[in-house]
Amino acid sequence: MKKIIYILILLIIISLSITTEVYAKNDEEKLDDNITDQLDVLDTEKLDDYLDSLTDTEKSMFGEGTFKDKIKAILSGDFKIGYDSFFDAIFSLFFKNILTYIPIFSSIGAICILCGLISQIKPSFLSEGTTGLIFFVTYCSVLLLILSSLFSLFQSVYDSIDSIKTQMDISFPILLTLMAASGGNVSVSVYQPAAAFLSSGIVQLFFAVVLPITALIIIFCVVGNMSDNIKLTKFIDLFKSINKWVIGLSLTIFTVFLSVQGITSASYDGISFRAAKYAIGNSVPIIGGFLKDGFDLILASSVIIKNAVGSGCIILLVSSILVPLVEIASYSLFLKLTAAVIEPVNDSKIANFLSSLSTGINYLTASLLAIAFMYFITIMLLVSSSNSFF
Amino acid sequence: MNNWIISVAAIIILTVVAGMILPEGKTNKLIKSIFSIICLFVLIMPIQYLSNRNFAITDVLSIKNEYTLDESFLYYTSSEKALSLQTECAELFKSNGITEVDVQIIFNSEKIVFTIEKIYVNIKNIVILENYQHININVVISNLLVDNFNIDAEQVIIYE
Repeated sequence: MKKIIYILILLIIISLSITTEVYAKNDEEKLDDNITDQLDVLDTEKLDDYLDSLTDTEKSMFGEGTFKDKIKAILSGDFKIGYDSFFDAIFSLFFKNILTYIPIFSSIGAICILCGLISQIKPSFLSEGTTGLIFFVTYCSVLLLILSSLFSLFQSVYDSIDSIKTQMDISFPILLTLMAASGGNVSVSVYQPAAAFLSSGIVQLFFAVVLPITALIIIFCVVGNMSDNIKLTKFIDLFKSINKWVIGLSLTIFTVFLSVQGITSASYDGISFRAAKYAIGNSVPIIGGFLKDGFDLILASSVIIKNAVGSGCIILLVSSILVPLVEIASYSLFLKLTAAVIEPVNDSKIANFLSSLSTGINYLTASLLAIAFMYFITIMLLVSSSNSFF
Repeated sequence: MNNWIISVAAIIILTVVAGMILPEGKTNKLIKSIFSIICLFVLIMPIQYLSNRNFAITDVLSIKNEYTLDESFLYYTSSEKALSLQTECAELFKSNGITEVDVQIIFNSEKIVFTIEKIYVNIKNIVILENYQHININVVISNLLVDNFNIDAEQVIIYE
């Protein structure tokens, strides 16, 4: 008798597990179909155009193919970040940049050593005025060499921030559309103005205030170290503190407000969504339940696509800011190295100039990272907030 | 701002050049101090400019408030949701002993979030259980939809 009961229980368990598997499989297939259908309808043409406009280095970091291919790879789990190749790319980029700066470095070194030698022997046959003239000429030659590469660095940072702005203008409407499709009514109304403010207001603030002030700091570094009589160190400090305040305030206020609003709206959406779902689910046993019905599957597919688009955008962001960041880092290192090398042989003014220039350049890194961080936080909030529906 | 930067740079370069050209002595010191005073005036020039002006952030920034969403995608997902809800309606009626009714859900395409505008129920070929014979079937259908889809009774339109 016991054996029969055991066999019966076993049979029931097996049949139950088979049926749930069949249901699960059906649901999975339906979900896959829904995702494929929605992906086909989703308009990612602008993102593809943007991908085409990237440079070869950025493209190689993002990977080949269209944006939809990338989303499909992320969805199917095929997408993997090769950390080895990633770090390899960063190091090769860094050393490539350092190599391009070596000729400038050696020229500055040669000029400064020559100038140092002349200054050492000046008491014997040179007057005070001539020494001043020699210093001026040396300073101008160093300046010429530094400025030629500094302009391209500035241009690259401007282009990069502009490129992040374009990315925002393309990716935010897609993410917001997917959020609206997945039922995030309040979330969309909260994120839409915030995202638009980030791409228009804050980026413009950086273009109009932070970057020009950084240029001003650099110019003041240049002219302030030219003469012993007129020092502009305090002016440089003033502008540095203005820059710090603008970057810090915009970063803190934007991130804090958006996070608080985003989390509140997400929980509101989640509760109202669940309330609506339980209203259907409780009274009609056939329809309710997790991922059983078509309606839930459509919402779930939108959420899954949204998360994949968000991940793709983050990869795109990383690949577009990495090149200028490595450029700035290597340039700053190069300036510090040059300052360290020429300090013993030359007037301390040129060494001071180079080292203060390298601190001025750090504001370029700060502004680039601040914009990228705000974009990253917005994407993360857009991606994570409507997941609470399920 | 550009003019100011150029003025500052020019006055400092001029001071340095003057210091180099002029011979050592009292004249040199006097000219250097004159240049320092000029430099001071040039440096504080923007303060006077800022105090004369009512500065508004909108002068520098043009802030936009919203993005245009992909309406065709939203329409597609809404129509898919409407289709799935139609199937759910049929299941709902079936579980309550009502079959062969044709349900059509009309959604509000102007709103970004899916909202049901009207539910049309065609009961021309309706098949019902025996115990519904003496009950107004329209009321039963309307109540079922109102209870389960969080809508008002006016939104349900039953026709033959």
